[in-house]
Amino acid sequence: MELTHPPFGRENTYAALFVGSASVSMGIEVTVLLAGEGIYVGLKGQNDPQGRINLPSTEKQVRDFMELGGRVVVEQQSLEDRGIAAGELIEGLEILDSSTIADLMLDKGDHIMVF
Amino acid sequence: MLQPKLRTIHRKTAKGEREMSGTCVLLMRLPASEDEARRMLGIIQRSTERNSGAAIYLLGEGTFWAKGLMPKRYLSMALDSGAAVKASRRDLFARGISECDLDQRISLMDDLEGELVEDVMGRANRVVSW
Amino acid sequence: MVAEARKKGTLALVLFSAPYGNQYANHVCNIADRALGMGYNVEIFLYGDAVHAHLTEQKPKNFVNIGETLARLADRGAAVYSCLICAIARGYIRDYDEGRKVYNSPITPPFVKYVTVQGFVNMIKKADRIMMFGSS
Repeated sequence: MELTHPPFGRENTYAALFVGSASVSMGIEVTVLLAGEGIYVGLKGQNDPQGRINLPSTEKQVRDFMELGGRVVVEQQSLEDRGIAAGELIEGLEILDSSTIADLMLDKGDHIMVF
Repeated sequence: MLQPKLRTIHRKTAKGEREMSGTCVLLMRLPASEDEARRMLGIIQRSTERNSGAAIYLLGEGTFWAKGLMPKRYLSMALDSGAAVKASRRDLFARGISECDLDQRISLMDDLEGELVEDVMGRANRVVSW
Repeated sequence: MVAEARKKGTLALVLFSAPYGNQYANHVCNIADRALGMGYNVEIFLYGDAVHAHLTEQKPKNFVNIGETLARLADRGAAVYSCLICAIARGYIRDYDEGRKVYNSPITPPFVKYVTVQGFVNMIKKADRIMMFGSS
């Protein structure tokens, strides 16, 4: 699953991680790719979004997804273009370059869903 | 306009059967930025580099890839790498895009949806839609 | 032979945006139409705002009626699923008994089947190919 939007402004992130977690729970191997503006889903330190903006924490969704066995990868170039350092990301996210990500899609991507 | 062979997606096994291979990318909108264009077509480039074939389908608003300067450049690179590009004649003409504006290597389809289904279900082994 | 085996394959089309604001619902319907005509199984999943696509009594003035188009596709054998949680959120479900998993939606046509996220995942597992529409 590729996430291309930052969290909260649209339902995309929530909807993708919701079905991503359900898929992992039901035995499907799922990799979430954060690329472009979707990079911001990988930032750690969301501070009570449910209380502040009435939206569930996507950081919690990401952490829960990984705890269930899901894999989250981040496109290196998207990070660099936006000046985000690896240390700002949720622990456990893997930073990969574009070629490696493309290979991952070609080797493992039976179904590729872009949110 | 010459129809490029679908050899970029078809492969044959030793028995001569059509083997499933290749990637289909369906584009239904323009990229928001050059970075996005790069990412939308990144899998195409890798697919052709690995010699597993690729085809791009321009549908609806995606037909503007064939017209706009920046997306057209990325489409051209995909064509250079060996990918097939197919566009909906209906959608192009409805938007006032003339055949003369197009890269001659782009195939105009009267039934792009049918072609897409046939490729996705019958010939390729993955599809990405934007 | 490989192509023939694929003829009975299943194409899943996931719509993620509401109708009429863009063409994604039209693309889904057109592709579903062609796929059905070619003998493939088609499953459509309405996710997020796309649940509005199945509302009855749509009367678009200058656009193709998506509700009626979905109904015709269902008549031809397409399975149309809608996200239950999304529909509840958007007011389609008037009575919902979570314990007995029974719900009532007087404004949803009978060919639409509401499923939970598990139903969506089952659809993903079953599909040979999946295409997403409207997530941009």
